[in-house]
Amino acid sequence: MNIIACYSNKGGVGKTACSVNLAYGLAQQGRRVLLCDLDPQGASGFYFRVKPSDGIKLVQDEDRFVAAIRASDYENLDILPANSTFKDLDIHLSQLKNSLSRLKSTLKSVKKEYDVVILDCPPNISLLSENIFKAADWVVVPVIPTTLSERTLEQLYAFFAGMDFEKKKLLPFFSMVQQRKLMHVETMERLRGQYKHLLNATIPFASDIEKMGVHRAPVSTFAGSGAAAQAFAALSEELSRRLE
Amino acid sequence: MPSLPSVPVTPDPLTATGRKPLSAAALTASLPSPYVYREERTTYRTARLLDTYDGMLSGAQQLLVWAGEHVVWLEGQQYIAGAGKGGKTFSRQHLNPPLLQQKLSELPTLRALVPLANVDMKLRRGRLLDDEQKTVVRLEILVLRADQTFLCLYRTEALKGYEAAHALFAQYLQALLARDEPVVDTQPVASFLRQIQALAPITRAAQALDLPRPEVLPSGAGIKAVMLKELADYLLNARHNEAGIVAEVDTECLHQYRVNLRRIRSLISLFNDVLEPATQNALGERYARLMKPTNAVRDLDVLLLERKAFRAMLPEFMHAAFDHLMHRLAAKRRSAARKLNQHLTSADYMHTARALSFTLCHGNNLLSGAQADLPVEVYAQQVLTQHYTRLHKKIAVLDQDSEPDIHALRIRFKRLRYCLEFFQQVNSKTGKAQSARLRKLQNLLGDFNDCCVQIGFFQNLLSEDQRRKSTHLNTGDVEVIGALMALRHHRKEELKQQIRVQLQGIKKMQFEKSQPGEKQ
Repeated sequence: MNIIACYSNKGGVGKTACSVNLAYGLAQQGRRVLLCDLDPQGASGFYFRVKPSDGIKLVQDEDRFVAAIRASDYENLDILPANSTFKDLDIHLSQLKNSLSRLKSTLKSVKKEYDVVILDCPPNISLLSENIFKAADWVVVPVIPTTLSERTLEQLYAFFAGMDFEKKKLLPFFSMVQQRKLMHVETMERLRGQYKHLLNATIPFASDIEKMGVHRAPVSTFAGSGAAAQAFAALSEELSRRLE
Repeated sequence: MPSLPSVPVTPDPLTATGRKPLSAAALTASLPSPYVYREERTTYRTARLLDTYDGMLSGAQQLLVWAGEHVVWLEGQQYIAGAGKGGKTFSRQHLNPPLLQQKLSELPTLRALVPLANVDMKLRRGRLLDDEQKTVVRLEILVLRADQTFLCLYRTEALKGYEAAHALFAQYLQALLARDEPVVDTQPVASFLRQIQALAPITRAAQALDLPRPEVLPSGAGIKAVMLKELADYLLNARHNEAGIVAEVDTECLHQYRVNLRRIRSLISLFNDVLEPATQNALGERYARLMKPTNAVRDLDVLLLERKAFRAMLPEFMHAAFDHLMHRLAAKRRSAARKLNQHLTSADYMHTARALSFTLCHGNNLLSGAQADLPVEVYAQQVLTQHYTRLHKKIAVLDQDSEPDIHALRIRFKRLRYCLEFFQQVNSKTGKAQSARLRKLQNLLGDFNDCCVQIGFFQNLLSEDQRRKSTHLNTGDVEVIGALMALRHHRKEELKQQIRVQLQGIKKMQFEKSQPGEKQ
C-alpha cells in the first residue's frame, strides 16, 4: 500500500483539488484508493457528496476508523470524510505514546483493502503533520509559482532536514499556473533548476477546477477534455510510475 | 447505444421474478424520505439464450444470454454481465470479466452452444440517492422477455458505509415485489426456461441431427425390404452428421454417426436368414471398416467430456497434474480429429459411403436368405423370442463377478434392444414395457463398459509411452492416470453391484403377439 500525502503549509494552493483528482485518476487506473480527508473543513468529502463522519478518534480507534469509510460514486474509490473532531487531532496525538507513528499504524489496518491512500492534509505544521510525513511514502506539494509559495517550499525542506525526514519523499508540483504571467514562468524556471524532484505535470489555473464545487465531482467527470482534466491525468500518470 | 460495462460479480442478493418488471415510477412512489430513486440508463438488446444441444445449462438452471458483444451469465444467486468478442457466432474466448471467461471455460469445448430461444434483453440501472444526491445503493434490473414471458432479476449493490440504507431499500423492494406478486414463484428461472422451451424448441447442434423419423412401413412387407430400407435411413442419418464432425460443431455429431453405424452393423448381424450368409458377413464387414477410423476420437471425447467430474474426484494436490494430462489428451484429440476429418473428406471414403448407400437402396441386388420374404411381424416374433431366450439363458448361467460374462450380457441386451427398436418402427407397441426395463439395465451395462474402456485406454496410454521409451508422460501424469484407473475400478465394482440388483429384479418377459395387419 502506498501512502501519498497532499500537503502544503499554505492554504488555498490546490491541495484538495489535487487530492480529489489524483484519487479519482488513480482509481480509474484500477487501483483501490482511499482518500482520507484530514482537514476539518471537510472539502474532499464535500466534493464526493459524502457527509461528515461521526466523531471518531482517528488515531485511537481503528474499528471506528474503518467503519467511517464510505464508498464514493466511483469504482475503486472510497472516502474517509473529515469531521469536526479532527481539529483536535494534535491534542489526541500528544496524549498518546509513539505520537509520531500513530497515523501510520492506523492506516496499516486497511493495508489489505487499498493499493493507495491519499491524505488531504490541513495547512499547518503540527504533530499531525509530522505523523503525515512519517507515514507517507510520497508528499506531493502544490506550489503556486509565486514568491510566497517559494518561501513556503523552502521552509518545508528545512523542516524535513531538521526532523531528519527523507527529503526525496517531497514531490512539489506547480499548481494554479497562469502561463501568461511572466512571474509564474520565471519562478517555475528558477525552481526547476533548484529542486530536482519537481514533477513535470503542472496544473493550470482553470475555472473547471472551481466548478468542482458546483458539480461536486472530479474535473474529469464533467470537463474531461479540458486543460485541467488533462493536467490532473498527467499528474496521476507521473505519480503512478512511482508507486509500488 | 450505451454499452454494457463489465459489472463485477457481487454477493449482493439477487431477486428473480417471472412478472413484468417494476417501473421507475413504481420504485419511486413510496420511497421513505430523504431518499430518491433515479434511473440512470436502460440498454436494449435483441439477444439469444444459448445452451448445449442437450440442455446442459437449462438442466442446471443456468442461463447464458448473448447479444453481440454483450454476454450475461446467470447461475443461482449470481449473475455476471460482461463483454465478448462480438461477431456473428458466439465465441467463448476473450470474455470479460475474467470470472465470466472462467464460467464459460468450464463448459466442455466439445459441446456446441446453440440458440435456445430469442429474447429481448433490457438492462436498467438506477441509484438510490440521499439528500446530498450521493449514491447509497445501486440497483440493476435485468429483464429477459420472450413474447409475454418474463424473467426479471433485481440486484441491489450495497456501497461501503451505506449498509443501513441498503437494508432499507432491499426491504422496500421486496415489499413492492410481494405486493405485485402475492403468489411467489419460488423457481422463476426454471419457470422461464420451461415457458421458453414451449415457445421455441431447442435447436439441435447441427441440422444434421434433427432428422425425420423413418417412415412407418406397411404391415405385411417382407423383412428384407423393411430391413434394407431401415439400414438406408440409418446410413443417411449417419452421413448427415459428417459435416458436423468435420466442422467440429459438437461431439454429438460423431456420437450420432457411430450410433447409426452401430445400429446398421447390429441389425445385419442379428437378422439371420434375411440375406444370404456370405452376403450378410461381407456387408457387416464393410460397416465395421467404416466405423474403425472414428474409435480414437470417440474414446478421447468420452474422457474429455467427463473431465470436470474426474477432476472433482481427485484430491486437490493432483489437480495441476490432471489439468496437464487433460491438456495433453486434448492435443491428442485434436490430432486424431484432424486425421478423422481428412478421412471423412477423402475421395476414398466418399466412394465407399456412396457405394454402401447404393447397395442398400438397390437391395434386390443383394442375395436373399431363406426368410427374406417373411412378413415383418412374423419375423419380429421369431427373432425377439430367440434373442429373449438367449438373454435369459445367459442370465441364468451368468457369473456376476466375471467381467467377460458381464460384457457378453451387455452385448446380448444391446442386440435385443436394437431388435426391439427396429420392430417398434413397424408396431410401436412391440415390447414397449420390456424396452423400458431393458433400457435401465442397458444403461448400467453401458456405464460398466465405459469404465472398462476407460481403464483400457489409460493402460494403453501407459504402455504406449513405455513401448516408445518416450518421455511424453511425466511422473505427475503417471500418478494421475493411476489415480483415475483406481477410481474407474472402484466405479466398476459399484456398477457390478447395481447390475446384480437389476438382474434379480428382472422377471420373465413375454412379448405381446401382434397379428399381421394389426394397427399401431
